[in-house]
Amino acid sequence: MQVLILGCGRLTESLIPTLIQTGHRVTVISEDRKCLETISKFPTLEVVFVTAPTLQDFLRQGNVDHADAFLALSGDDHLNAMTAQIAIHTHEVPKVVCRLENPYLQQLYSSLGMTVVGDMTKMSQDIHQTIES
Amino acid sequence: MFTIVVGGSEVGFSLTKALISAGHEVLIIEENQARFRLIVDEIGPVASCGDGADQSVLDEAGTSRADILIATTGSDATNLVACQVAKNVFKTPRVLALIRDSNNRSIFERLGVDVVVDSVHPAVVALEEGIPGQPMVHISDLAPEGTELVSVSIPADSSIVGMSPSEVDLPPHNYICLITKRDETHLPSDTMVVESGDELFLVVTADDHQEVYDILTGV
Repeated sequence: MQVLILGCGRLTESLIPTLIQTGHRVTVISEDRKCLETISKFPTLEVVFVTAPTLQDFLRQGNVDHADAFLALSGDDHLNAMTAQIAIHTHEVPKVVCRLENPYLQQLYSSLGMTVVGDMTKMSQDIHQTIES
Repeated sequence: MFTIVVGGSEVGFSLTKALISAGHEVLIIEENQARFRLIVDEIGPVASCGDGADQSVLDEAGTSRADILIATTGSDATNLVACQVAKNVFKTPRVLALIRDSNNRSIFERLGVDVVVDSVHPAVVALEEGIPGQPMVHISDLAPEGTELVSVSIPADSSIVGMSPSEVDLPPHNYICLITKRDETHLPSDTMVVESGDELFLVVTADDHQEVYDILTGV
């Protein structure tokens, strides 16, 4: 499967080895050149550095039209929400995942049918449980 | 009428002032502290400081009773999210957004933004028009997709000078629709001839762009 990832951070970094090992072709697009350099140590991984892009170009540079999955995993909720929706509606990418930190936005975009990750609610429940136990 | 303006940049701030002087109730939301103070200093306590795409900030601002939300930040993504939160959570009847990237218009419209205003493209077009000898100026996208309204200035050595508009042989689905001669604009007619310096307004299809341009300006 061709997987396109937006954003270069710990989450992306931790996903890459598993995705590559299970035979997926992975492309990462990011504005963070340093981070892209760090992850380019993975063989077969394609990285695309983008500067001050207009958003639609941003995705095209990552060849979004050929992606089977798009993962919006940047640290910016708004960017993730918008690019995920562009991937779904404009490029008809079959599988789209959107990372959101803001619990309200998680709720909103889940209710709009999007696959949302970044469940802070569960994290706070876990923390709460540990403290209370 | 109660309007929420998200983003206190030049556009958002000027709009807020205009709405206030027109007697509307307005609240402007600006994230940057310094900018927020500047706004309050000038127009009084009708501003709130925070992320205008955040539900709790919008809630506190009274968005549930707003008639209109206008998202004017410099980020297309933030503007989209603010509009979606207003529309879906607060059921705001009308949401408007500014965009910087013209390519984003269709996704905004598809996701329920009622009015999408392009903040960069019209300025580029206006500036292009001010450059002498500028070839084909894009004015507006038309339906169906790929159709646009453009203008072309006719150079003195063009081979269509002296022809009537109907004699100009354009590919199918490309039309001359208006001709500006000096200070007057006319519908094309058979009694009229194309002269050097005329400005022709045309409906063109994207694929024929170059061909149309060559026909109009070619020697």
